[in-house]
Amino acid sequence: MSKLETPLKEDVVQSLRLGEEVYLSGKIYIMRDATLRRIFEQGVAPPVNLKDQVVFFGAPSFTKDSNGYTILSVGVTTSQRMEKYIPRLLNELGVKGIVGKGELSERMNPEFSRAKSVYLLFVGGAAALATSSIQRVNKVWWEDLRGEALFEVEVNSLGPAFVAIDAQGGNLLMENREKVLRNLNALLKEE
Amino acid sequence: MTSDTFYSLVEEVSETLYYKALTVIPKDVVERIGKAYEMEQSELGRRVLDTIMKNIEVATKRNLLVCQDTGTPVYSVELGDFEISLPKLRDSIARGVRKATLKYHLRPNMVHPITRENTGDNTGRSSPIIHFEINEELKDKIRITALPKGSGSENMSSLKMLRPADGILGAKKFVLETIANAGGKGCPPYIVGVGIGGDFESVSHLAKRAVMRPVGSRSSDPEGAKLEEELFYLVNGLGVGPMGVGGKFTAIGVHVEIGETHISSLPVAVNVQCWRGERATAEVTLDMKVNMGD
Repeated sequence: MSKLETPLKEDVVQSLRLGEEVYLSGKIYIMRDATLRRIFEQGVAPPVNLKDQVVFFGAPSFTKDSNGYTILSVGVTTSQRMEKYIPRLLNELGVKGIVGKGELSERMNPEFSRAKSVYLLFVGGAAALATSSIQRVNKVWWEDLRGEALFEVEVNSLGPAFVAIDAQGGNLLMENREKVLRNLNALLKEE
Repeated sequence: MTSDTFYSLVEEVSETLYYKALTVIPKDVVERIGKAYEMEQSELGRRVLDTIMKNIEVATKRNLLVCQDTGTPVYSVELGDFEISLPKLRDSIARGVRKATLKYHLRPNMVHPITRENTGDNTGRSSPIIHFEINEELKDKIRITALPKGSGSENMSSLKMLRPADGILGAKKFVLETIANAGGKGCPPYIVGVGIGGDFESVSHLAKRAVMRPVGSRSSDPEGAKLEEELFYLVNGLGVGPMGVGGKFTAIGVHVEIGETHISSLPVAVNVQCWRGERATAEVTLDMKVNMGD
């Protein structure tokens, strides 16, 4: 079990191993489909420097009043939909950690090892845990995208998350997927 | 004839059920997750299941949504043999969805599929999706079930028009391939709803009805019940495991619903449901009593 502070330091990221359980504290950036389309398809530069930062794939529901923003619920979304943009997130914008759920293909392994970054698996549907780790919302950009706006929030001990692609390019979920496909073939033969 | 007060009551119940389904996990689901935790042998799988249980606890304690995905609002309305206005029922349920969305600041999910423009309140031309079902056992009441269906699992669902020659073996193969492909993306351990028979349209409806059943209940069709047991064993033999990390529990339940089909057809639909198994049911009597269940 490791407690990680954001922004992530390279030597810390390098030391993380597949399956390791981690908890994050500090600033993280919440974004997903529409946010990434704006950056990479429409070519709008992100309004904040993401170098060494952690990106969390999600779309919060939130309220806004004179005291600022309150996130009512946030959880993790399926990372596979974001695959197209991950190489550029890592290698152009310098993102050091991505939090999501579900498999990312083997094509992502060299991208993570080249950028010395990690993919962290957060439990899907565990929004109560994610939401209660949020200390405050610092900034929201591109509010016209509603839940898919870009959020900078402070978290305290967001977790557990599990290292699913490490900086050496190991891929926990795809390794399991290979087993699943072997099991599938064996089961079909038996039937 | 039913009065306007009855429809206002339905509106209230619709609102309550939407929020309840997002905050209270059905008892049968909680029990199955707990059992899976006890029996799971994969260390990481156990950590995931433990996290799921902790999340349910925190959601209850702090009055938070279990999952941030407020879903596609799907409702099943069971009706007996009495006069009732379907347009009024439909409008009451939709008003309930709108009210819950605004009152609890639920994330609005429903967008135009092409422009991606958000309707802002989870209602629209075809939202909520309402299935009116005939249930003649209901003499003096209607039964409403809300299923705010999450998209992570819905996106992993699949339909195939098999040939009669593919037989039950072909159906099993298709279910297994669907779940293997879903992997960890739809938030396992899953509740797998399988529809077999009917036509292109009704087979999906059968699959959705299957995920609405309490986990561990058995199909009323003997062939369906047998298939449920076989598929439960097969699906859990895949080793996807909780959230795809590997383990014994890829599914906590497999339900099969059967319908007659054409001599030339064998439609099979697999509706994937995440571990949350969100659903909430209430009964409203024609003389205005509400039973919210547990």
